[in-house]
Amino acid sequence: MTRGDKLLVLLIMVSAIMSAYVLLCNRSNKDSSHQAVISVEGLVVRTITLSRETPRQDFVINGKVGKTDIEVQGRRIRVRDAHCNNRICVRQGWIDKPGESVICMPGQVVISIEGAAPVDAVTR
Amino acid sequence: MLSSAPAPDRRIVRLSLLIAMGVALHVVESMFVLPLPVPGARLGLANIVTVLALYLYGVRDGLLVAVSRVFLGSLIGGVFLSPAFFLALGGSLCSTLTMGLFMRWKWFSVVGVCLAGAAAHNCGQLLAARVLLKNSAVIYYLPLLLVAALPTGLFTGFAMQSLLKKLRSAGITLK
Repeated sequence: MTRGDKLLVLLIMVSAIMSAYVLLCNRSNKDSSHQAVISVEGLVVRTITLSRETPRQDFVINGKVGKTDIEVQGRRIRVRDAHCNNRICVRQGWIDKPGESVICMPGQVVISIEGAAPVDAVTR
Repeated sequence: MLSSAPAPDRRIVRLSLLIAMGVALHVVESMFVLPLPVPGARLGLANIVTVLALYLYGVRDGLLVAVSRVFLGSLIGGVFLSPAFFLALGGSLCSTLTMGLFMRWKWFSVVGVCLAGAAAHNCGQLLAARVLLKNSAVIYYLPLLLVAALPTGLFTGFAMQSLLKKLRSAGITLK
């Protein structure tokens, strides 16, 4: 191994650490800006930014079969109560990742979290 | 018999042998998945053959061996034109070109060339994945892949070092 080789080892290590650092910094900023999109019968009625700074709040959306009580807490969102008969949406509980959604079929209320979804897996 | 053949014939025979060995290593290697949280991290055994072609005949034949190896290897492995094929192709092209470049700089030994090749292979793979998946999130694999390139690059580098030493003492001219 020449001195150049050793420098190259060092360079690769440094660039690995640097890229890890930069990527992790960027990610923690990006992660705090997911958006929950709430729609009724296909029409967007409300969007909420979900971040750590989002205050706890709840509000009521008028679905097709009555009122849907939605609760937001920091980066997560759930249906707390609904006037549909099976209440699957309520039992689903909290969602907090981009791509996840809570759907109330009878009320035609859809809550989905939008944002850059990370890759789950790569098949080869 | 081989040493008495004229140089162009010898080159063709040697390159075909290298491609055959590369294909075998490529297929064998794709059966062993390293226990890393990164898809596609490999030991780089098949890369040894590319490096040998580079040192015997230069960048053009190195590329020829690398690309033929990827085509034939993925045909045999049954992944031709699948994502795995494009990942291997992107990685091989990147690493062969990079190694051809690093060979010209005298302050790197073959170990450095292999290290650069391993790092470039993983970057090329990532680039191919980025294009294939149309998702910039794959860039998060970059640090892991760079770290993974260190042991694999050193491994192929030291393997090549002893191989080149043997070839030189056997009187074979190398670049």
